[in-house]
Amino acid sequence: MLEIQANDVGKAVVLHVAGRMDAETSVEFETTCVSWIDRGAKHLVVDLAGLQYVSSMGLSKFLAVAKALQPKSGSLSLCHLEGVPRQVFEMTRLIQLFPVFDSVEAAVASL
Amino acid sequence: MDSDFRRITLPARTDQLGACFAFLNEGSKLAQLGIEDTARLDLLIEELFMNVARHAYPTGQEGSVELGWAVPRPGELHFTISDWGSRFNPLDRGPHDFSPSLAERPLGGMGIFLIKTIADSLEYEWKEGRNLLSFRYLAARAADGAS
Repeated sequence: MLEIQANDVGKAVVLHVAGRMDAETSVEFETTCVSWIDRGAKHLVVDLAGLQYVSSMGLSKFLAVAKALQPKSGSLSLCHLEGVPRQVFEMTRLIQLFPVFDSVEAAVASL
Repeated sequence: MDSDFRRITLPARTDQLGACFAFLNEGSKLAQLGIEDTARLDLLIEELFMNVARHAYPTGQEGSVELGWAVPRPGELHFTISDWGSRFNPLDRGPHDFSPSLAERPLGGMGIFLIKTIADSLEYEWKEGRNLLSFRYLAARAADGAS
């Protein structure tokens, strides 16, 4: 099960993601992000404090959203990337492709 | 050893992922795996199960997938997954493209890389008309795949 709460803070849309991001549930994450991009959002900040699990399908959704934002000079930032999700981002070296912050406030302030 | 395996046969469909996790979690509990080890093991099984569900059988043909696990001692779990679809060794895949460029980085291929990184004693066999993949998982492994 995956829970996503979105909050438009002006400079960015903050998405609080909690639960498990697997082959079934990760589609919801991509759909939510694309919906915000279609409405004009350029910068997405994803708060992963509640994320317990991410599989390769979940990782591919992060990549797809970041690729969609790149031509718009947008960004996908990650916050509170910890535990096994962080290990998976490190193993796959995806962590090098995303701005990673300790807090939502730091991510928004960097924009 | 083989008689110690618990087994289940499921339809090879993506909507069976939850049943796959539920079966595996019985083994994770018996092996007394912690939250992080359980998550890493789930990651392996999801990659292998979804690979079979999506690619083993021709579109429109419903096939089966057999899962099995054994716990020889706390902190160690042996796992097998087999199907009767087309012959395919996922371990034959070449090295993953770790392009440091977002634009050039491919979306796919990370699943097989994660399997090879996390699992111990990973083996593939084509045996009596089935693909059989087996591995051993040892608890508390360090995340050393990026080295």
